[in-house]
Amino acid sequence: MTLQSRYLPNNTPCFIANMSNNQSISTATWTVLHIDNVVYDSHNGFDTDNYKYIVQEEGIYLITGVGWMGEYLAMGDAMYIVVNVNASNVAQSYWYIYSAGYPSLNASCFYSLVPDDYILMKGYHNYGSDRAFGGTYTQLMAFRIA
Amino acid sequence: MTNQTEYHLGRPTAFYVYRTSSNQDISPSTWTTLQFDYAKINYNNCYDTSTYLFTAKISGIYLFISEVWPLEKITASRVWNNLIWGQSGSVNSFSYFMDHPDATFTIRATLMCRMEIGQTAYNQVYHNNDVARQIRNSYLSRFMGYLI
Repeated sequence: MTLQSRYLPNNTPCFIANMSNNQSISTATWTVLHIDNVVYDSHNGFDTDNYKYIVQEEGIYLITGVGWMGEYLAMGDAMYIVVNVNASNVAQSYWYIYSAGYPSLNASCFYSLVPDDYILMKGYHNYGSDRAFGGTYTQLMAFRIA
Repeated sequence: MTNQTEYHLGRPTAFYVYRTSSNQDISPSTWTTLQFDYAKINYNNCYDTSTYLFTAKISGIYLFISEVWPLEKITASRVWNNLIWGQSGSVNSFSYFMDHPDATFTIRATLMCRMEIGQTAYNQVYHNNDVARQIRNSYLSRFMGYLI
């Protein structure tokens, strides 16, 4: 057995998933984003029915959520995304809109995970009525770094 | 066994830090090192929560990510910058945001660079608002890195 195979991480488990369609979100309501399209999942941990990744192996993971507004927000509106682990917020980002637009946000962190922990992402806006997070470019991903 | 091998065997180099004390004041027009005083993850004690420096104990390619949340808006046409320094201040990666006219958002910077043993990395921000502004504490502003 080589040093590399015994001791160096190979960056798995790893998954990349996104929203297959736009998802309408009520104003001022934190909502689980419907990440339902698995692009890659090395250990078959993604639960597309419940939009969350179930951790399969212990380790330190780099987790990144990307949220994109598929419908414009107006000046003065805010947009947030938050990554959840076991219902706790672990990384959050926001955008206070300066002119009508379609912002995109990243939220990343390292986190120590054990089997059966779960990861999901929530989104929020305060447009004043329903607005949709955009499909394809709203993504959740993670890989083990240690 | 070299120090490098000793550090590496079964023990990764990774850190993830943020600030547990109050929001950090940032003076105008002053590059300011972010004072992340809490290490959620800190293998090999590579990040010092009193000097706010990461110090490489293993040579290699590192990925650093910073995401910082300015608490308050700044005046139109003024800027926020988020900067990660690597190689003890020899290389950097930089993100820039100009308020237009009255907004703010989480500013992300990413740096990938080679680090030799003993070299440091750290995270600075800058704004040129008329008066001081703050960076939010807790996990809302964060700095992380690992040996890839």
